[in-house]
Amino acid sequence: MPLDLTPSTPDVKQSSHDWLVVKGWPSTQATGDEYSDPLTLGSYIDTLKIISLFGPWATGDEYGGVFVTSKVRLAGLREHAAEPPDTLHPPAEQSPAESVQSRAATIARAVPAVPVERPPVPHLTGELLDDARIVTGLTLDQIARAVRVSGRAVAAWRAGTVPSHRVSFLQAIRSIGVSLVGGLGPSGVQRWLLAGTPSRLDRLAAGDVDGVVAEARAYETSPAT
Amino acid sequence: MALDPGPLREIPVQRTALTVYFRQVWLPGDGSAPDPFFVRREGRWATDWTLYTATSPEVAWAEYCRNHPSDVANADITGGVGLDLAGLAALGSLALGAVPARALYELDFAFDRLADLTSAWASELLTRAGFDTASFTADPPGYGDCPELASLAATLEWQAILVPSAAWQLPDGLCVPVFQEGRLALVEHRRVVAAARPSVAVAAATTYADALRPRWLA
Repeated sequence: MPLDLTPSTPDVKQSSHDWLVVKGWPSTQATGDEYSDPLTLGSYIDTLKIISLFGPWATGDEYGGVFVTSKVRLAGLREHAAEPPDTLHPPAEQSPAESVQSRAATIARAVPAVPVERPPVPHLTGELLDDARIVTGLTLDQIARAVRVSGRAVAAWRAGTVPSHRVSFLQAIRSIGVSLVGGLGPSGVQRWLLAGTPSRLDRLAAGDVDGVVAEARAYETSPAT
Repeated sequence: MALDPGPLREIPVQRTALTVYFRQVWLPGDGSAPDPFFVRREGRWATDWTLYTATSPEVAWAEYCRNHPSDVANADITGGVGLDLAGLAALGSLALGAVPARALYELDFAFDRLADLTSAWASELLTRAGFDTASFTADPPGYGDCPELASLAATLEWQAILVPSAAWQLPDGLCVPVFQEGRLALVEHRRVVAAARPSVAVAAATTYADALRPRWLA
């Protein structure tokens, strides 16, 4: 006797509805409730797996949901069939790097990021040197070492007294600090500028303003890489 | 070799609502609200307006780590020892200290023309068009054939594409670059967290560009 793969009508409609709500790929029947379903994303990924296993997508509406429901069931069957017994195929020994990376993915799905306090907003004064220090957390000595002058000389830089050949350096520091302080805070910006060999601060002092500014501005957007 | 638009036009587009998208967003220094729709003409799928989103928070944060490997390198939480399985268990859920905090948003779209480039049929058509599917994970600055394909998105009337993530090279690693036409399909957006840093585990799970994986991550 040929197999009847067509579920009864009520079952099909119920399954289809459940699927549409849970999977997060709603058709015109969607109610909007699915947008708040925490299961949506994981189920959506299951859906993608099904697509990759069984080809291009069909919504199921044109088949009253039977086609989609069958695909879901087939995916489950195939997954079980594809799992070989451990005794026949013992897991290959992974390198330490692979193990760490795969284990990390499991943890990362549970804790992708850690909420932190947003750093307080710095109050700028309009004085170039002061503002550069406020947003970067740099000390006078750190600035002085970068430009190879004494701390006392830098301390004397006030409005109208900053040597003209140092203005662009301080403006770059201030600009970078403003770009980063919202996410890092002044102490974080200080660490960011002092990190690396040579440090970004040293690179700025050596004239690589464009390079370091570009690194700072790269934080403003979120490009896929 | 230029891509052949003929096979690309045959790639199925879907009318679908995608309910969960995430994007990590820069925090302005003046305390004002971050702009989740700030874009710049750069990256793998650059057009005049491409909004890079991911299908899960971990993929979004992994993209961030891959894009800033030097920061992750400077955030060595192991003190130079390196991260092993035991260290991962202890430190994996902690934040990376030296990485700027960012806001995370959730976006709802109702697309009329989403091109799913992850299906076997789409791969076949992409190959016929001359697109090397290894480009999906090709390293910067070239990104393989991706920029050229992105340049055809408007012609193909694609609002967005579903593609593998180069940063999270696992079956659930998917990105959704949204193009100018797709901007109109935005239904709603919500800020999930005002400021957060990626976890050590995300940094360790990320696939970095060639030779740029921070050494402390093993």
